[in-house]
Amino acid sequence: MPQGMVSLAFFANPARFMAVSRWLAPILGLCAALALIVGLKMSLGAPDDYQQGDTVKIFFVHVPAALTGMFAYACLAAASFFGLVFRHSLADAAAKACAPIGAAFTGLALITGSLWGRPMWGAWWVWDARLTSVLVLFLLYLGYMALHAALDDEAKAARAAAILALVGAINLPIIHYSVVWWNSLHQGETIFAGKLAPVYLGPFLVMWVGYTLLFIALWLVRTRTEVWRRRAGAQALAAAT
Amino acid sequence: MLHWFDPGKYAAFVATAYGVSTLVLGVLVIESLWRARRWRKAAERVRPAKAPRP
Repeated sequence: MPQGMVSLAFFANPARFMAVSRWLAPILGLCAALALIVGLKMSLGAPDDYQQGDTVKIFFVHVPAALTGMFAYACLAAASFFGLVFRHSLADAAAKACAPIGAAFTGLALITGSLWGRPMWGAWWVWDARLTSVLVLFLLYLGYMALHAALDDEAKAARAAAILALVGAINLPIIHYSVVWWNSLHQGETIFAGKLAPVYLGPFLVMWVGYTLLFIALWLVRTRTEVWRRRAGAQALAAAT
Repeated sequence: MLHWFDPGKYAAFVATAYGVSTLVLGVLVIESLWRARRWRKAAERVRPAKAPRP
């Protein structure tokens, strides 16, 4: 078995996951809080942009939220894949736990983007390829959660929601390349193209690390919660019969 | 006012973006911890007393 699969199998054991995540989640949460406090100070202290003025400060909360929302969906799709193919209950629990966090980060990206667009473009919203594809991502999260909640049979709900998550994963490259493939009001590739001014790179990276660590910490907490919820349900059912 | 934060022309938009971000992430953290506490207690309530804690 490849090395990656061995380590994945190691953490796929629910008891081992609960033991590791018990101390890992608070550590990651503390690191996230520290990064966000430092990042906030760096962000608000960053100089104004010569074109955008002080609205450039919205960049430090908007872009990390958007990247984390996309990263969360990649995690949701990966967990859904393992849940669907290997029928692993922990993968199902992880996928279900991931959706509300990803929806929150994507919703934040849409709100902060709107607050940035109004002073810069003169519009709260435009049906631009980037904005629309991120809105589709947000709707995919909502659809995933609604589908999970709509079916009483948890195994069937997990399977149906996993298929939706995997089909929706096609949206991730569309979001990334939307500013390349179509004429867009949204600014083009900046960070990964190395076009970001160094004075903005530091605060952005610290905020990005903070957002990502917060997502992972919350994902662990919510997956643990889902394990407890299922355990409580199963034990209550066993006690009743 | 913080000495290192210079409010500019669009300070209202910047402040709202940071305020909304703090609020949403704060609510997400609190709700996650509250749900975790609730279901941990529910799982412990139905588990036999001798069973080890996961």
